[in-house]
Amino acid sequence: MSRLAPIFVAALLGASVAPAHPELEDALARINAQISAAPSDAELYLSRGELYAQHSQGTQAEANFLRAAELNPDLPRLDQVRGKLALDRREFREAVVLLTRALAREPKDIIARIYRARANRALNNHPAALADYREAFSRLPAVRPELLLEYAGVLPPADAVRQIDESIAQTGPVPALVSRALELELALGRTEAALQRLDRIATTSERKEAWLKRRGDILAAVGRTREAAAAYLAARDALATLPAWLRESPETANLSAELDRLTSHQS
Amino acid sequence: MRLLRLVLTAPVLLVLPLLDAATTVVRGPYLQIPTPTSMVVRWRTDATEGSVVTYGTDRAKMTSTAKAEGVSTEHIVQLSGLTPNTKYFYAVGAAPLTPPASEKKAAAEDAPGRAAVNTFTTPPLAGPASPTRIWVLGDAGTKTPVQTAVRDVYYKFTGTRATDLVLLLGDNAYPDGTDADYQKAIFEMYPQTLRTTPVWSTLGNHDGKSSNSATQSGVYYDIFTLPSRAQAGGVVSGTEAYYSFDHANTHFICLDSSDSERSADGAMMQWLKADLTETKRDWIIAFFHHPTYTKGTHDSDKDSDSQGRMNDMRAIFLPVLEQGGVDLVLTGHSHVYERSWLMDGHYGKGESFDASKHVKQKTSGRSDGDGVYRKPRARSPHFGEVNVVTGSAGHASAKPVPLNHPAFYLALNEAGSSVVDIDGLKLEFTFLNDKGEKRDWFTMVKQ
Repeated sequence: MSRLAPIFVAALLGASVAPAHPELEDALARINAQISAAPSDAELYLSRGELYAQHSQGTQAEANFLRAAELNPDLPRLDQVRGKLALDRREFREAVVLLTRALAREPKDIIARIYRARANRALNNHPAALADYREAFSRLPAVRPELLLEYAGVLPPADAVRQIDESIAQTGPVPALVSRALELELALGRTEAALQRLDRIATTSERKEAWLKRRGDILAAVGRTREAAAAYLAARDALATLPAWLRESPETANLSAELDRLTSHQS
Repeated sequence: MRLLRLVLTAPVLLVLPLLDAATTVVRGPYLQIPTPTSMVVRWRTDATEGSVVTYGTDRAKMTSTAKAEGVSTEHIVQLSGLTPNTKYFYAVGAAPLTPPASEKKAAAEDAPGRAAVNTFTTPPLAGPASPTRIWVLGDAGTKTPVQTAVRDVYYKFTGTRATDLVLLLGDNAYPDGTDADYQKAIFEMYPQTLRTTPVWSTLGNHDGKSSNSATQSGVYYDIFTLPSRAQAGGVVSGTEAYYSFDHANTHFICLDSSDSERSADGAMMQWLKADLTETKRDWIIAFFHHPTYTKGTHDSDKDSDSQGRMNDMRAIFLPVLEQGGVDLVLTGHSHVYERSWLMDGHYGKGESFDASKHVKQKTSGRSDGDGVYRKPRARSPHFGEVNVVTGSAGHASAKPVPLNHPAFYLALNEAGSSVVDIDGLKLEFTFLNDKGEKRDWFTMVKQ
């Protein structure tokens, strides 16, 4: 603690120990002036801590959060932002403690709940993580793909596929979800299910060639060479329907050449 | 979007007299997610009431209505079954409105609030070319006389030429992106534009102070209705944080550089790759908040600046955008104007920039100078794009800034906004400063 004392003092005085860019300097100058005018205002230290945290200056952030806690231990959001800081610093056990305290104070805090789910996931405490994800999702009008994938990552593969399908039914074929579901189907050895997914996407896609090629790749990988060749030919046909200016692009030409190679190889 | 409620569109059965004046429209109306056949109209009232839009193609015969169920102070109504590229007259209220008398037309069209008749034009069908004017506002929301001056310069510049869409590049409302900040910095600053021109936005770091992308909650996500389900073209993103849309022969890609995962295998990147693969439009314009290159009020060469977001956008996302054939990259964050050459393939720090390698065409891009930028029409990767930092619609830097990144043809510490005009296979770009001067311009042509 004694080694860190000068840094803590510097942080509390608002001095940056690392060079800052003009916007951060300006924001610090504003908040330092406010703190000079009201040195006992815990909210200001919380704000300054958040400012440091946003700019990856964790030591200064923590010093300001601790000062805010000294001034007002019941300050709303304090445990949540400290928990987030601990999460960012990969101090997962500390994060869980702080976020549990934040949730005890405000059980409807979705953000604290998601942070705690992430901390528990990092600690391989999957049941606790799943419980927090579920509780958070129940309070959200829509779950964005990134969060859903986090959640799916903690589930057994078959359950993950089901969960992803539910999300796709609500939001549409988000590429990251479709891709993860495909990977999971293949990992589970469910080739037909994977192919059906590809077919559904290709039907609605303006550019079917890539999906058809992927279909061919999957079939080739499981030794269904004739069907793979048919998929590659279908991909080549799809390429032929593109307008000339798209067909002429190097990327399309590369794909065309690869399809030619694959079809000749298959035949 | 999550506030969007069930919408019913039907012919008018009852035309009620003008509403009483008990409630007042305190925000808007403003227009969201325009498509050739639909438009979302939003407004706020000071008291709870129903949500009805009366509309039609003839001002004297606004015979259609659309409404949202229930009552609210935040009104979100989707008009559907519209005709592409068509001017519509509309009015908002708690019930269908009787059109104002024709002699009041001019005054009513300009008047804010309830019972006023406003207009919008639906976008043309996606694909075929159609002249398009885009007003680009980066970091606008300072609520200062500078923001007002920048706005008024554009209004004078565009005159009677309609603006087809507005792009907000983030940090739309300082200092914290609160609802009150937005009220002053956006809704009270551009009311005339917002009533007639759809607005698209990307999230800035100051907007992020009052919003959370993980939960899609907070002021930014409450104010904007954005297409998570590819309602206006492109690929389904599943989030309002990043999305794409089509307008005529242009494909627009909005990325979230502020508050979404920026890894090379993250959901945003997977979506971007799929979206770039899918599009068949002639032009691709990407916009996001944090610049790929800057030496203004931020430094893209400094790893700690903005927690590495600029590095990520340059090193992780720009290669994919270039591979997908992007033509123009619009960013803000740095409160300056910086414009690159037609360039490609530079993903490192400024010191590694090599004009002989990274500049595709070392000219000004000006038809009245040493030649416009030319690209093949084929969706060719790595034929170059122009990167523009236009983050000074609210103010320029009060302090001297380096403005010395070698990727830029021109860099100015001046307040201003940008205009993009697309006509077929020609794109013209203009930067107007707050004094009314045309300080930069270039043309890109596809052949």
